[in-house]
Amino acid sequence: MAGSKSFSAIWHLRIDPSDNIIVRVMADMKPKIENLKKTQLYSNCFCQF
Amino acid sequence: MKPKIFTDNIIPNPKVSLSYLSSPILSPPTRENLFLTFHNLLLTRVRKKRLKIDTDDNCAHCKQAPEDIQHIFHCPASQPAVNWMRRKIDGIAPELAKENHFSIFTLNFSIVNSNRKFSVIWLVANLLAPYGT
Repeated sequence: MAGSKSFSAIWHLRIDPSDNIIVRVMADMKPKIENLKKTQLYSNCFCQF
Repeated sequence: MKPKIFTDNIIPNPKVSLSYLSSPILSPPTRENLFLTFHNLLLTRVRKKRLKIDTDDNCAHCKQAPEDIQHIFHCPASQPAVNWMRRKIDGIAPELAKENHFSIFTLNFSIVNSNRKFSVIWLVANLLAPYGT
């Protein structure tokens, strides 16, 4: 079952109202996308993005 | 009256969304987070108030509406991230341009092409997932 960290997690809920959401989301997404692009799965099963 | 966590209270065609949960491209944390989203189990402020954890259910960002799952995708504060996601998805699967934000984020759509489907599912699941998963 989900731990407390993931249970409350979605960027909108965890970001302080004064934070820039797009900066925080991009900082999280860009490394994930870069890691995905290195995998065989990406070249075989994904559209290129 | 159905329990408030029932999927079909918030998603028009829950079988479509739930069928994507078994997709092999999802990591366990992202799959778990999608499950919570589809079942209206994310700890939004509306849910916190219902569980008597909080007294105020208004959105902390815009303060204009109760913060439930639907509001998160339509909140003005979320729009930069949501619009980035939509631009990515429009590039991958233009046929989804007619879908609203909520349908996209709850994976309540159909795509025939499996590469496009995997790409959209991965993007949505990872955008919704907790940081660092």
